[in-house]
Amino acid sequence: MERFIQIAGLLQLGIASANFFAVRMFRYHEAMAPVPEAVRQVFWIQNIFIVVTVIGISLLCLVHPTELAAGIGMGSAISGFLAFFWGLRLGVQLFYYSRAKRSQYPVFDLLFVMTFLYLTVVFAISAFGYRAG
Amino acid sequence: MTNEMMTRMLMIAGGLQLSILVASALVPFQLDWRKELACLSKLHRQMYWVYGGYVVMSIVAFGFITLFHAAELASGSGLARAFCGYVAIFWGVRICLQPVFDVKEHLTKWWLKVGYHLLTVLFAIFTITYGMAALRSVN
Repeated sequence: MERFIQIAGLLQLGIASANFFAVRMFRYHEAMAPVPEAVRQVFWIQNIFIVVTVIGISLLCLVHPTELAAGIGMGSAISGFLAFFWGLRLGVQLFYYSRAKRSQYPVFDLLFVMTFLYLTVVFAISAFGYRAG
Repeated sequence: MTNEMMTRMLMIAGGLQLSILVASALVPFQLDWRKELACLSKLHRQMYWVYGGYVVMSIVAFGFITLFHAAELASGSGLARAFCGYVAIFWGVRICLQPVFDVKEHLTKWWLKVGYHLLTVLFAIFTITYGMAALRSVN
């Protein structure tokens, strides 16, 4: 299970880096230009926090996979939170973002859906403590 | 500092983090998001709400994980120190971004001004508390 959590850590680093590409791909600067400065600043701050959060949990997964997979105490609580975090993100991708928009980026969409699904399953299993054999 | 004292400090920090959500809930109304975001494309509007939701969810998780596992976080174990370090950086970044916000025109009432400065103090408390827990040696 530790190996799966470390893979999850690497995948999350990939997601964090995707946020940098998203700035250009979705033209954040142009798109946010019409809104007042304070509203625009909140958007950028939220972006920074998402990246900080995802990098932070990636490092937790890469450095402490054994504790996260133990299924007890704080490790279980963090894994449970991460299962909820990515499960909700999967739901947002599938049911909140418009299908028409997603179909403009089919490869990215599929990659994201598969990654979010993987992360949700791995962390859900970790939260309850995986016992091999 | 004893484990017991660190545990208590973390529990207070956990509770205070949940109280910050009151301020978070006021932001969309104070900045009139519904009206101001109307000019954005649907996708950008959705991203705005999703990102906001995720930041709130992270703070809720920090609060509850701290409240329910304060003793473990204070223990100085590897995962505990890493988690505390991560939360300390999260709030440390938030303090650094505080002067970047151009909020003066929105602080129209005395309680908004007080609340804004109180938030700055809380961010500092979180950074220091979690930073101390992160730097503890194993007991």
